[in-house]
Amino acid sequence: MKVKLQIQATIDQLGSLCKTVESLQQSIMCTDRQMCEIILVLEELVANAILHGGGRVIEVELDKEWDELAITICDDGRPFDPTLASEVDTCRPLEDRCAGGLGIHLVKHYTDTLAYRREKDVNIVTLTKKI
Amino acid sequence: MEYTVSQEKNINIVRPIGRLDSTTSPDFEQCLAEYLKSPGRHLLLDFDELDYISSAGLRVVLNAAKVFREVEWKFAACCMQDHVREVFEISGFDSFISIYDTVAGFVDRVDE
Repeated sequence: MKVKLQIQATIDQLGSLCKTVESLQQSIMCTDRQMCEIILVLEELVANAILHGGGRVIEVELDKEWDELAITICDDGRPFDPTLASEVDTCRPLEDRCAGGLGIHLVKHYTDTLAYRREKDVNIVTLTKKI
Repeated sequence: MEYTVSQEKNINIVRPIGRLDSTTSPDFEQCLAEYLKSPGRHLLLDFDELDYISSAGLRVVLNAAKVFREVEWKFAACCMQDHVREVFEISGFDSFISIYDTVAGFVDRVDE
């Protein structure tokens, strides 16, 4: 299964992107829980690109082969490498905690691999998740 | 963002419904603002009808927890679905936010 989706980089497009991906659950052949994790990963990365990237278009490709789902997210915004985001220290007390970095922390937790490259002014994030 | 608010004894109980994501969390933050301005009651977030939370929702919860750290009233969450609870745990939020299984669990606690 291979599907390519494209949205304008505005936050109101995020909901429809998530709904479309949810509708692919049978083709991805994953559990409800896994679908929830996939949506979370997508939301974190796509929302980041929309809110901080300043690009115009975001492309998401889902490729399921055997027991692995590969997700590629391309955006034409400012360079941002999520693999370089600093680790969140989840043991810090409340007064020292800030919300920054939590999204990428969740993405790393719910995926098996995460990679980044910049090509022709486009951010390309690829991740894989065993299903 | 849909939510309901109720009061039990000296507790404000806020129940967000559906999803706390990048789209809905700003709404929810506005809803909570009223209870964070100068808290005069405990605040319980009842997540019974919350299906999904992302880092955008966690940020709102974190800010609420920080406000309540400075006051005599308690702040807690309850009735989390498994995957919502997991997101809290992965983020380490369970170390500074008390999570109860039921509303009654929190009510009993503040009665003590």
